[in-house]
Amino acid sequence: MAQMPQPNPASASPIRSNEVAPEDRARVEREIAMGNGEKALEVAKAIHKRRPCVESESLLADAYELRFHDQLERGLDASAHELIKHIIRKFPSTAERVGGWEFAFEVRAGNLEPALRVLNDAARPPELHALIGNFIRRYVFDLRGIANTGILSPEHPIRAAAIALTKAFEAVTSGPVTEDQLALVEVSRQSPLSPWKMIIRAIAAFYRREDDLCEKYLAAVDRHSAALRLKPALRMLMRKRGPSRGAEIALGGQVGGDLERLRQSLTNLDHAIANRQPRPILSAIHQAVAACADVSPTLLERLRQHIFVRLGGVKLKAKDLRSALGPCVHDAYFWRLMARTAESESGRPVAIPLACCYWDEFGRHAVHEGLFPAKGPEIAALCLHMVELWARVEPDSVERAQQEFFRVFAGYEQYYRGQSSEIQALRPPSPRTYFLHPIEILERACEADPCSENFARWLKAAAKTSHADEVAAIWSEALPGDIPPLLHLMHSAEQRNALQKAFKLMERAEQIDGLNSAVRRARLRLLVSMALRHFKESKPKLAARELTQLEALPQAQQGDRPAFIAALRWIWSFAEGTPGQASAIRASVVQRLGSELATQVVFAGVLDRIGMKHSDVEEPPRGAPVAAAVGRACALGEDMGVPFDIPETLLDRLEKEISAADFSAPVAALIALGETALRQGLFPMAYAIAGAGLAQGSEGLARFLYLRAGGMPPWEAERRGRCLAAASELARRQRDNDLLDRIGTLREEIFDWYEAEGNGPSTTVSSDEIARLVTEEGQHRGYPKPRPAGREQECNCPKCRAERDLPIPPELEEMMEMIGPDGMAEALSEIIDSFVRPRKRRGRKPRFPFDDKNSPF
Amino acid sequence: MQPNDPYQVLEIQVESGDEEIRAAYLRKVREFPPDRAPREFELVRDAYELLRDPRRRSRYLLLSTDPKQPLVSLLEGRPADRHFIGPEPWWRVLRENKP
Repeated sequence: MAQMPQPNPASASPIRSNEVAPEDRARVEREIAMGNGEKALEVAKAIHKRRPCVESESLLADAYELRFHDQLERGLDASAHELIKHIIRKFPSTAERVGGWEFAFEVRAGNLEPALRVLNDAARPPELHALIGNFIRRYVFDLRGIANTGILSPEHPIRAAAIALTKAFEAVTSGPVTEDQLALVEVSRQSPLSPWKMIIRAIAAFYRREDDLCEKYLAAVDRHSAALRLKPALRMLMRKRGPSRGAEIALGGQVGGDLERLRQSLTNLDHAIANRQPRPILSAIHQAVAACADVSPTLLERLRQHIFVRLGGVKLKAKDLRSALGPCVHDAYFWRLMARTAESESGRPVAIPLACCYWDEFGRHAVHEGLFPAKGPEIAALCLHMVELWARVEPDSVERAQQEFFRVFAGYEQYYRGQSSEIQALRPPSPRTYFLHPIEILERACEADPCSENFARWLKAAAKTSHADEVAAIWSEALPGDIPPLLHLMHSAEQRNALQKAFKLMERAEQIDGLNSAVRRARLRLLVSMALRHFKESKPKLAARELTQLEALPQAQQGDRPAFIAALRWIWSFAEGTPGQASAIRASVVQRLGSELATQVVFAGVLDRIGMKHSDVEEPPRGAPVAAAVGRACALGEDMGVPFDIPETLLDRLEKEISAADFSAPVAALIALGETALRQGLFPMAYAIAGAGLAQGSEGLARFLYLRAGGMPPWEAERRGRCLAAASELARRQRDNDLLDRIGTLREEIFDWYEAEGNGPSTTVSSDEIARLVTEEGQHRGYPKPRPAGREQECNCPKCRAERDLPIPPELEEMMEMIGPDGMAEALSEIIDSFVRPRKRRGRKPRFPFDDKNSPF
Repeated sequence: MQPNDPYQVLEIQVESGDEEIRAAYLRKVREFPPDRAPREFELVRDAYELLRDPRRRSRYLLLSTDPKQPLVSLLEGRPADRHFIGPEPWWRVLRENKP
């Protein structure tokens, strides 16, 4: 039992009455509440000095209590004892209360018995009960002392609270808990143990990774409670401060795990895999898996999957690997790793079909796992990714890759053996092959996410097949408000001479959006096409009907279009036998185009189209601009859907004019001229026009870079790639989808498939790089000459390399294992040939002109 | 905050749907307002921009894992596990911290 000090009667203060003004009391209480012990004491002393009384002494005791606890917490026990004696001696009326402070020493030392006996004694004053309650709040660090005491009955509120809190504390630090376990209704808000409720909830929030909530609970813990002593440890565990003491460090190590050990094990395994030695690999796997199981069990499944996939190229016995690695779950994550690994090995013919097969598995598992729904943009994105992968395969090799897949792929059984029944249930009942055919993949993308962009890709892919109309019809049915499928069907009907159907489709498009520029242009082009066909079939009366409609169309009055319509009327006038009228019409066309030469090109182009003979376009007088006039005519033909050719009689003049240092021409005309040259296969001319355009200024740079790439010879593949990348970047910035489409098509045509958008290295080009490229290309005016054959063009097959005393490169060794020496020699020979010989440009009439005879220069 | 992984930036699971992504974004913006934490706010905004569009989100999901990365990189940005270890180590911290 703590000994209470006795008051000293000699130094007793003269007590007069209980007269402390309420505002003075409030001042002291406020300072105490704010924790300003010294200030509170100062104010209380002043009050006591002014008018000493029982109440002022009580106020002084209140203020001294703060100092007492401060000394106790700093371990200054002797000073604290002296303080008690000093207060009782000077302020005897506080003797009973201040004497009770002696219990604090016992409580703090963990000797709860004296204090608990007081609590169990109902005869003791309630103030003493409250005082001891305060000491329990401040100094009881081990709840088990109260929970297990025999002094208090189990029903005593403090013991009942301690029992409940101890149980909850053990639960919350031993495993996940429910909200019911955290309710702790046995602990009232007034209980001296109530701060422990907040700490227990903070620990629960920490384990649930709700760190914000944990902080909120910590902030709610009474700052004078023993429970708050866990706050630094919890904040350390949340990585919001570093550990400061041994027990905290130990707690951090046990709760957070020894990450450093795991890191070291993984580094060792990385090294072992790099060295490809089976024994060290198996040993390192053992260690890494064990470390992960100890330190980070939640990572173990993923780690096993990563290790399994990384070991793809290492020869290990399956039994040994299973023993070292343990079970490897083949869930969506696993299939994604497999797919990503396969697609990164695109040098193997089978890599892309295998990757698509794995992506298909990923999709089904991801849907099963709830990563995304069975239909939606996510599945469509997966399909589009597969299509992009197929774009990496050279078109001529697609069939070989598909065959190779059937040869190599041993079925799904090996992947599902030993898996859980839940995963086994996902095994495809029959072989799936849709992912081997890009068009079928696109069909699935449209089923999953029927949006215009997906249908446009499907239609574009199907345009090369006989199913394009079918795709357009499906698109139109799925999205009846979309114009492009109707326009496609309209063109298709027009091609088949089903003009009524074409008109109906166009009218449907006009009903949807009559102001749409594509629709307005489509009507114009359809009428032009029909008129030309009727002229060709010698049916001028029928053509007259279309001509009248054309002349009434507002869109036919824009730009140079009236000149084209007038050219048609000119033909009609001849057909109707009114040459006088024809002369007037011709004069009006010359006036409209501002050039006799442009007029000749337009008339020649229209006459060519309807199969009528005409005289050659005449070379204009010396000094007259040719490029601008021909370009303007070509732009008009392109606009009306009747592309004109550059007359052969003008090729020499054009070459000279474009090569001149002071050459300039309107950008639109120059672009049209360049595109016509490209279409006609006049690659050196397209190259020269692009150079002139790039040198001319900042307008139309994207188009000129595209033309430059298109005109580039095959041996300048790197330059062509840079030009295309820069053109693509500029087109993206300018949202020029038409040019982006053309760039994509050009890439496909020249087998630049790997660098196509999204497939190969990033095509992002900085503005500085573009500016540099434009300057360089603008200065390169002469057409690149073929490079002399060097060693790089020598056959690199194993036989030829052996003849040159060269070893087989490792990548070729792997390839030879797969396809054998003969197949390899054949494949290498094909590759070398593709560099030495010109590449075929599919879908284009001419091949690249290598002889001077075909070149206009 | 791990700037490379939008899911970690927003502190959400890969399975999170549109609503959860938006809620996480709003929570993070409150935590990192643009005037007080512009760098963090930019990361949060970029992460949200990537994840709010299901197409971009799916593409990220497909391509974000590099199976050839060193195994040790699996630990990068990964929050440490929180093991349940019973009450004793916690009591020890309390005992050590008492005055």
